[in-house]
Amino acid sequence: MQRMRTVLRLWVTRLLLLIVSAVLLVGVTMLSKGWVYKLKPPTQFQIVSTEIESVHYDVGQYGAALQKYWADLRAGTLLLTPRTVAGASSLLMNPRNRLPLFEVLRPAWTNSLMLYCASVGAGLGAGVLLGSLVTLRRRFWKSLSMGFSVLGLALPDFGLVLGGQFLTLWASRTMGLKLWPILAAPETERGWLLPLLVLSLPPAAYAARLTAGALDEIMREDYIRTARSKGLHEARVIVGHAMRNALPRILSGLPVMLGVVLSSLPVVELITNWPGLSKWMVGVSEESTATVAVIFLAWGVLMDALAGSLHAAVALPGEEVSP
Amino acid sequence: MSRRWNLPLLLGLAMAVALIAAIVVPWVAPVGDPDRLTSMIKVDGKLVLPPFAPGQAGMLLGSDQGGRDLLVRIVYGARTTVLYALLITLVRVALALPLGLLAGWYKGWLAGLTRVMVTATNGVPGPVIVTVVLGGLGGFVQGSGWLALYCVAVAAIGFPRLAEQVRRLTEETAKRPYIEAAVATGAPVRRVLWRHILPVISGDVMVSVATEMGWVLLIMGQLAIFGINLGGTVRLSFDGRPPIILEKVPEWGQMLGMNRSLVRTHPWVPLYPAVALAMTVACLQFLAEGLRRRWLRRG
Repeated sequence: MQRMRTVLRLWVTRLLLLIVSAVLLVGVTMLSKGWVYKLKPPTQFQIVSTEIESVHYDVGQYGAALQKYWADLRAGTLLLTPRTVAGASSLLMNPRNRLPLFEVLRPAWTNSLMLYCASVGAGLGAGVLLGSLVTLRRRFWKSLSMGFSVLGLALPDFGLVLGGQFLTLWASRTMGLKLWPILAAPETERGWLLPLLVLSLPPAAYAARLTAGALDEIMREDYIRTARSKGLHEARVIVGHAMRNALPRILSGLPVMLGVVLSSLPVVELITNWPGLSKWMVGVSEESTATVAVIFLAWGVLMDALAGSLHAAVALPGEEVSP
Repeated sequence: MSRRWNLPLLLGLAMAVALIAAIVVPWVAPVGDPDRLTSMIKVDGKLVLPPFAPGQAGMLLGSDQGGRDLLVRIVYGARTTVLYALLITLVRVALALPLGLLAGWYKGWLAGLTRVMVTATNGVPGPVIVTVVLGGLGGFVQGSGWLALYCVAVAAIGFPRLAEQVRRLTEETAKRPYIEAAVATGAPVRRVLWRHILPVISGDVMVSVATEMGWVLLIMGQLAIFGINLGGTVRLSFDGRPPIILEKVPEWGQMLGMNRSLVRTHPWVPLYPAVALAMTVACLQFLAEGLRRRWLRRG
């Protein structure tokens, strides 16, 4: 009952947070729609002038833009347009660049979600496996596990992507080896390698740290000694007893892991040219930026709530679960 | 008794020494002009246009598209990059410390607000929030106002996490008997927080501050990928060649962001600033980890 109440509170808080933050995000993004540019009259050689005579801010225009955005959003008729330079007339805009936003965003979001899920899954799996190395009694494996957990969290995403791109170029030029394509391509398996490796490294390192910390403590407990003295196989002691008790602690770090992958996702997508959501945030109209930002917000809040619920479900009695 | 080396701390300190040297060197020895352009050079009787490869024209790390020495720009860039990162981190600390201390002491709605802010800022990728804020509010400010807005936006997306850590530490420390004794003797809250709690948690806060500075540098690099940079740009046109847009201020994030499209043709141009930025982030993370281990061992 207590757990149910915690989970319910968690979801209600996240839902309220989502609504308030979404309103704020859209409100701030659309602020630039309120600027009114008065252009100089065109010269005899120009069709439209791009020189600005005066600029002022019109709150009414901002309000109208917000209303139009909301109406288009409800009707599903939002258009994706490139961001125009200050004061440029719509005459300059190529009509072919006006695309239905939701039709463009749907496949992009699918691509982003696939990369995100694969990275979290691969990172968590690899991290738990590497963290379990502390149960081996040889110091080398313990050092490897701890070293990986420190290094994985210390290296920034953009540095890793550029390093990976440089490495594949160097290997291809000097040894004729093709490690992975410089730019990602979701339709080929190799095209996944670089973004997947980079995005799965931080959750792997974090999961390795949590697993190693939890197992290091648990392996000294009395019940582990009892299980060993009963003659149970070491693998069974680790998986059946130690890991089962370490799981709540590993899952308590899930919101952080999900958050870290989500925060790196736009950057990795942009550098590797992954056809995901981030591409539709830069150099496009305010409507598109606002919509993509709200999608990222909803995604982040939903993942946080899911991770929190999962943690609440497996939390040990007396363990604190953040609502 | 075997002595265990604190490897992260040693690595972090070694990298910090190199970083400080990069910041100080331009003041004590001539390292060259970061803005000096080289339009072309002659290699084996052939004319070569910039960007020059590492080793060409006496430039150890090569040059950018304007023929400016990358090594010199990276050395000068250390100052700008680290200075801004430090400034943003200080703003984060100034916002987080009072909020965390008060939330940890009074709990209730203040603690709830801190937790909600953490969820809100963790939920959306940092570069997305800053892009939205600078895109929406950037038109209202100019020049140094824009820089201030950049610093405040980057500080605002990270300070709730630091405040939450301070809150947790304060809440734990406030349960100790000597704090109860101080309250019982009638010490005001401000004195208890400032004289009795802050000195106890300062070690952990220092570790968090080092980590935060690493996060700030990380987000500065990420923002550069999004095309949001600290310095301005210059338009350069050599005779007979199409004009090129170059970054004006030698700042690592901008040097990386503005040249990232060259990764296929001239990979060293975006790579070296990225390496410098990555090494500094790693240095701060190693220092934080090393300090954490050191204080853990001391108990």
